[in-house]
Amino acid sequence: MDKSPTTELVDLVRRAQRGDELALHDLIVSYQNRVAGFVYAMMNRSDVVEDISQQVFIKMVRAIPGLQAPAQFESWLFRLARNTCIDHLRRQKLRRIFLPFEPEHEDVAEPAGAVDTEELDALRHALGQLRPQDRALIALVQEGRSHAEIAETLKTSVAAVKARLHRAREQLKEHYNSDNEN
Amino acid sequence: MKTELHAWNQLRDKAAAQLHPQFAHNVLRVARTTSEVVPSLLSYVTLSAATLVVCFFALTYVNHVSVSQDQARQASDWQQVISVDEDSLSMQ
Repeated sequence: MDKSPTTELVDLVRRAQRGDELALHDLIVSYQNRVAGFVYAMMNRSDVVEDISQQVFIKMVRAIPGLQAPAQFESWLFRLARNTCIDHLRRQKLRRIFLPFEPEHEDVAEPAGAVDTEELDALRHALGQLRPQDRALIALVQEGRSHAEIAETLKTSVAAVKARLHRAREQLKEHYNSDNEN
Repeated sequence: MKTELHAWNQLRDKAAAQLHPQFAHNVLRVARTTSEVVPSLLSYVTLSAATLVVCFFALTYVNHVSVSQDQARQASDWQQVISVDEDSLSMQ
């Protein structure tokens, strides 16, 4: 009998919960590119992608034994990723308050167009204009999270998610198009 | 819309290219060898509060010592003035 992808995932998560290293390894390999994409969209800088993605997966490895619903693994993982990115952005903000004159490399923008295409530059610029919470919303939708899952992640209603998402998409489109026209 | 979708794909590809080929292996190794990698926001706030308290007590102590020394010096100065006055009065 063939197993559905969901059943396979649940099996993998259950094995990982029992401390099976191979299952943990397979879970990381399966999700590392998607999490890295999410982190890049959130942080808008490529140099921190590996570091933050690693933090997300380390949290996953430590917290997975306590995950109550293995079927909810994906939304749980992206919640971890979102919270890790938001924490990182908050810490950056705090560092800027306490060390305002330190030449932080995080303030140095990646050279525009050096290796990226115009489309990617425009998208990165447009994402950079949004609030981190709105970037998270759009990145979660891009990762295929449903409105209900996002509402649960953000502890809000589906209607509120839809309204915020609509606003965020409009802003993103506006900045993306204006940047692309330039 | 199509170009935006294309841009999202490029963003994912670029993000994936940032990861080390042995990324999963490295994650598991780090997770096994370290207890806590990232200090939490709470730990930053606690450390800041503790630093503030230590600085406050250090400042209070330094201020107390400096005021005590000033007072002792002024008292001895006044003592000298009084003794000079008493000497001049007794000579008269």
